[in-house]
Amino acid sequence: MKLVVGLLLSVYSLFALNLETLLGSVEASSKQEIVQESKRLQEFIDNKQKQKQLLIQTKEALKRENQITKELKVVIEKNEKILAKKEAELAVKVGDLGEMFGSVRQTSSDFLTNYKRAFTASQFPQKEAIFDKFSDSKKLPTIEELTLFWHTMLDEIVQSGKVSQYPAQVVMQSGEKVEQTVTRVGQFAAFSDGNFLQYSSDIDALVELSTQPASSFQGGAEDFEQSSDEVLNVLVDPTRGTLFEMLGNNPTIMDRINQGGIIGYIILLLGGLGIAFAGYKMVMLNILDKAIKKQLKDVTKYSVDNPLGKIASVFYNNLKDSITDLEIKIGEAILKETNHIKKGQSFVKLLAAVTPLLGLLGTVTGMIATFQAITLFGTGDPKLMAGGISTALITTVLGLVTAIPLLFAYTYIASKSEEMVSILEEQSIGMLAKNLKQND
Amino acid sequence: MIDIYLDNFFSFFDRGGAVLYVVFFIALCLWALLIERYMYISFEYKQYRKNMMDEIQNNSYNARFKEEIKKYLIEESNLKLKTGLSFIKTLIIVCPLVGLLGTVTGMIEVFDVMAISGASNVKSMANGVSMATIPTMAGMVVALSGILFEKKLELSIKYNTDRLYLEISKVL
Repeated sequence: MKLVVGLLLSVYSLFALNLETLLGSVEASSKQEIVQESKRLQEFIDNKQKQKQLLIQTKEALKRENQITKELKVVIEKNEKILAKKEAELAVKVGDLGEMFGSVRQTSSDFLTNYKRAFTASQFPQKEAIFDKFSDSKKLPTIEELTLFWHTMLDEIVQSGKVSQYPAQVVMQSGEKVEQTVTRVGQFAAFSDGNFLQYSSDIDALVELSTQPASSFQGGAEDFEQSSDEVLNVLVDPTRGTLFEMLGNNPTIMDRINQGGIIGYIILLLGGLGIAFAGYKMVMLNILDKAIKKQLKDVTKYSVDNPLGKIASVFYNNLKDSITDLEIKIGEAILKETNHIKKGQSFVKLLAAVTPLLGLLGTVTGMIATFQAITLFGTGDPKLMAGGISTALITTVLGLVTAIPLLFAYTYIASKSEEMVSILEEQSIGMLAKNLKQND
Repeated sequence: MIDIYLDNFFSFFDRGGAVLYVVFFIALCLWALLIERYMYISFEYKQYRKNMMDEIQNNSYNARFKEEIKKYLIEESNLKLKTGLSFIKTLIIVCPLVGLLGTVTGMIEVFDVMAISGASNVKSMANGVSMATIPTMAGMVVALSGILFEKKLELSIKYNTDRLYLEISKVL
């Protein structure tokens, strides 16, 4: 109604309202309303008798329901009493058995945690469900279930003492899952095709070890897989996989070298340079030595392709000169040759002396890093210090390892060239003179 | 009786680790070379000297080059005496270095154990410590024992050279 009025109002306000018409219509509609209201009131008055009757009916229904409730309460009380009696009876009957079920749950959950990490889980994956059921169940297990429980446990004990071969899912290093024949040695090792495996409970599958043991052990494992009843040695892990895991943490030679840091690389570079140069020098000296030794057999037939021959040619060509002139001329020739032989020798010696010093430098820088770690984090965690310490130790090792062969190489070069220089410098004139007399 | 000593010997090597074998090898080389030098000086060298003296007495050389020839003969014999001496010296120098190498590898072992089982387990570190100390000690012992005889050898070479010089001077 109001809406209509509002609408009319708005319509009239839009078209320059005729207020009077509006008033008329409002009055008319209010009259109509009054008529309706009085009609409704009459209706209520008519219905009053009916309402009374309804009320009486409802009250009666309520009374009935109350009666029923009372009766049911009595029944409940009775039932509760019976229940309490029965429970007491049950408690008496269960007695110590209640404790037993608790310990079954305990044992099976303990067993499950061990079983999940064991190699046998890869052979009998269905067992896990059995133990899982026991450890989780709230119900009392039946006699059959209990028997199954201890039979499974016993079976597990027997299986863990066996060497067996069976097909299983193996996750390779590349990440793909392959079905392979796996040989399991008790709980201590498992391998297929010579690759050692590890059981991962997260993905319920055998995983190839990322770092395999030494190849000789892998070969042994392969032989073991193929043999039937021979007695063979094979690598096992008595800690059930912990040691195999540590294998991955074990640094390789490359890791070790990397631990040496920049000084380690410098040492290796110098060492490589020194060895290469020493090798070249050794070959060169040996060639010269051979030529000189050949010439030594007969100095009278000299050829100028070797140092001694050159000196001999100077000697024979200037034989008529005075002894001082001859000595000067020969001295000149000798100097040229010995210089050639001795060249580069000190370089090897320098490197042999420098590499241990560099190793020492690495030690000191490594120790500085360690002490910095200590001032920052304290001595609580030895692993924080380990970085600096390994740098310190590895550089020392590298320094020594390069210095020792360099020292031997230097000794060889030095003694060889010393011998040759002695032949050229001290012996050549005397040797030539000695032969001269015999020729005369 | 010998078994006990042999057993001790092998367990000593087990505790010393790989570097101890290197030290042992060096010691063997060193002593073989030293013994060879002493044998040479006391037997072969005497024969060589006698032959040389005979040759000098039987030949007459050009008087012009007398000094040079004398120098040549002495130098040649000196060179023969000194063969391998520098190698012996190097072995003696290398011995403590190898011992040091053993120390460092042993310490690496100790720190590896420490990283895995923590600093509390002292017993597990003992293996690394013995690997560190035994080769060092062995290296020192070998070097010291070698140095004594090497110095004696040098002296005897010098003595022999001087004596030869005098003997040749008498004849030539």
